[in-house]
Amino acid sequence: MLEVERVSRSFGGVAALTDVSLEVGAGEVVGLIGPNGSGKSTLLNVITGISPAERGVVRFDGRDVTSLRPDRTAALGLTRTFQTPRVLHRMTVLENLSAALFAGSPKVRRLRKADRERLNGLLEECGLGRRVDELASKLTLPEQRRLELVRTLVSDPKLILLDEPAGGMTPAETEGMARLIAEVAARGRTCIVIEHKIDMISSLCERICVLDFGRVIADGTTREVLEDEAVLDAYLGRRDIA
Amino acid sequence: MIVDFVQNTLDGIFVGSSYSLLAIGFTLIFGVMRRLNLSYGPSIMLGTFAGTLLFVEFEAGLLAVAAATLAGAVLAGVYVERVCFWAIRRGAALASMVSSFAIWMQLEEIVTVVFPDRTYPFPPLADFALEPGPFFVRGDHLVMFACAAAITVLLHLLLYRTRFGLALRAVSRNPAAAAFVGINTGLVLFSAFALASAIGGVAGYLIAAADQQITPFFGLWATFKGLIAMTLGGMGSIPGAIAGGLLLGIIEAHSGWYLGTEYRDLSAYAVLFAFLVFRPGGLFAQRQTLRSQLAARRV
Repeated sequence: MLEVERVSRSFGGVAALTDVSLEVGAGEVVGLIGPNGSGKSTLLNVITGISPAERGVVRFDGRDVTSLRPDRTAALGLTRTFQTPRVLHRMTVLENLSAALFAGSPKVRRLRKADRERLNGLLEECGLGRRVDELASKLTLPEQRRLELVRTLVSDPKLILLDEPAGGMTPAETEGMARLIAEVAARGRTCIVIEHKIDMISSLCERICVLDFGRVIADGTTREVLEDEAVLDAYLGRRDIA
Repeated sequence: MIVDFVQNTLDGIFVGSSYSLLAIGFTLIFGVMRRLNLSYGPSIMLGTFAGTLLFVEFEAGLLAVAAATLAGAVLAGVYVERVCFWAIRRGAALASMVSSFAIWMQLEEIVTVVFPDRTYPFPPLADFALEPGPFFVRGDHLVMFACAAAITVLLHLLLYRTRFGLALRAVSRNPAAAAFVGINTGLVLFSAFALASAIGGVAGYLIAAADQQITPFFGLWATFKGLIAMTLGGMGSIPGAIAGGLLLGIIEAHSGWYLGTEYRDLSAYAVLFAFLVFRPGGLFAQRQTLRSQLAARRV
């Protein structure tokens, strides 16, 4: 479904990504981990067209999306969330979802009863059913993260990229978010999850890819990667502990 | 005394409604782009000269003149958007503002060369008047107010009842988030610009028809009136633009009557100065400004 082939990206002479390759098949839930500054978010930015690759190719569903704008990648079914939730603050929760519905379905001219019921259903599932008419700015951080995640679902995407979906959350909130992502994945959606919380990643993902200094240093099953010497050294801090 | 006061207030509201339209145009562009378009007035001026051309050369009727004014303003606005905003969309906001000033000069020069006389006639819109009791209301002012009110209602419906309005509001709130839900932000910005230019074209037509003449300096005048009204109301706020325009009209009407017409503009600038010092966020953005000030202090 997603092929990232020898992608490189630098900022002012600093290499953020160097020859990164990654393949994700349909239905997979892949964890993307690495120390801060290792290039995880940059890779998501490259895939979604915010910051196009300087070298290399990104293919989605066999189509070259390397230089497509974010709205075009979103229209193809590739959506994402952000470390800091980018909800539409001065708009209601329902309007946040409606914007995605309208943009994702050109035929939808107005919010019909069936559309509203569907959006309400999505909000109920993620625990925001009672806040449908509230301004998004009034939601708490975990609620904004859930809203952002559920907004990605509105356009029925094929691939969802989640950038630290549990960042800044308490253990209970993290568990709730992990449950929500698991439900999304259980419906056959392909996901790439960036997260520092290894427990969450290992419970959600069967496969993990590790970045360090903009290069892939490990890619394999969760168990293999978490026992990999290079990963333990670079990310899990065994060297520091020793 | 009371009659004069009410009459001046009424006159101010009627004329101010056209200022509100100018301010709405400025606000739409500033609201979605966070960039100031100094060429807004001159592109409206170009539209009114397109209308004048039809009227003077071909003795065209009201509808044709109105259509030409609107089309001219939209075409000029789209030209400004492509050159000053789309072409340097990744550059600093200041770059867009400075280039829009350059295009202002360009448009004014073009009109001055093509229309070398100082003033040109513009067909009147309505030559009737109402006299309810001791008051006097010009017919063209009444039409101006009715059109402004209708456009305001239609704009509200467009913004809050249509998918384009939702997209426009989403882009103005957070362009990156809007792009990630699949909204073509470039197209929305372009459409907002064209819409603002169309509203400006209507305002230009109504003002020129009320004055029954047009000069190349109309662009400067429209830019000043629109900018002052937007600043009084609160930058980026549509209700603020409406209130700011009406307030400016009322200030001008009262100062023109009580102090003399030579003090009319001076009074408007004095009130603008007072607002900038004591209420910089304007009538409708004050709470937000206070909140930002408090947030800045916390940082």
